[in-house]
Amino acid sequence: MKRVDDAGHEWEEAEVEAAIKEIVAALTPGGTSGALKRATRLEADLGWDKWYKLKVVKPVKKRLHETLEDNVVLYEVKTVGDLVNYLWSRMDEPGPVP
Amino acid sequence: MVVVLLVAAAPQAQAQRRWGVEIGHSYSSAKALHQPATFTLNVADSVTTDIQGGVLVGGPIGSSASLEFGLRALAGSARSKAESEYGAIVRGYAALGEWVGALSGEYEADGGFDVQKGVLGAEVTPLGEMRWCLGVRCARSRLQWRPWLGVGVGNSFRGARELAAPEGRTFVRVYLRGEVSWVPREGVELNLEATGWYLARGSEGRTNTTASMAVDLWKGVSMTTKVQVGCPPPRFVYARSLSVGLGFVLRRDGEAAALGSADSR
Repeated sequence: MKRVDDAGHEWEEAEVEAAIKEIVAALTPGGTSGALKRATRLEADLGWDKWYKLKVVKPVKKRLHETLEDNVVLYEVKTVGDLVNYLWSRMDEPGPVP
Repeated sequence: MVVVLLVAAAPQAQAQRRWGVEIGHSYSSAKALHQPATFTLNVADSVTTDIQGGVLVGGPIGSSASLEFGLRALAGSARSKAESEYGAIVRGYAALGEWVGALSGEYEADGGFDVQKGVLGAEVTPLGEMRWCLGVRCARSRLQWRPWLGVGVGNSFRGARELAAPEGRTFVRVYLRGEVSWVPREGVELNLEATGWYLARGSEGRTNTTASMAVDLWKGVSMTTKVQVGCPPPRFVYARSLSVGLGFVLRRDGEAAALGSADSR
């Protein structure tokens, strides 16, 4: 089932996951999206510190057109999967076609 | 000779979804919280104790700011009153574009509470930069660091002027703090926090460094070496210590971390 971002673009959850993995990989030294799992921990596995996690906010806004709350990223997003779930939960289900 | 062990506590915040608790060497930085909080009992010549620890409770305020409350202590009968210190802090953070800013109010006291200071502080750090290992561990060097630039304005509200030296009754201090972490291989972590202060009254400088190396042995049980050298506030009296031993701790997200020590000050 597709959902819609704030710019009106439709996304499958798998597409969101792929986009998130590419964003995370681009922010990780030596990182590749293929090596990332949903269970990959941003701090323990990728070596990000608490504040570095906020680096995802801008590319997510640019590519997936969603604005993430800083404190959710800081305190609740521990893994790649958390980020995918958070972003997916922010997207809207498509409304009825007029 | 010396020794006996210690330590460490295991904070858990699973029940509180967004607020968490961390225990480590001090609340001063993330890497200081990665260093062990230790209680050391020395039974060599006479029974002495050494306590080095801090606790930090923090969580979100609204959608983009967060608040922390912390306590710390360098204390115990192995330290003189001048070498001992206690502190408590309230600190708020907010992301400001590519920067993070913090405002804080801190209480500082020496071991005998002969000198007590209140400090209002502001500090900033960049979010991070991949190519400089700033905030993120580099793939090859396994190194990660973070700088903080801050300024504190304070008042020494208890203690003789000479005890409050080199800062005096009212003071301004500018500081640069660096946190460095190195993971040479899986299960081994070195953490260092170094701070340099410029004390406006008298145009003097002071530094303090704490470092630890933890080798993970089994599910968070680690062999840890810990060093502290320098002149920390409020008295800025030179002190140094070296601790080696076993320890254990759990962080709020359930990840095991190294902690602990036995003393050879």
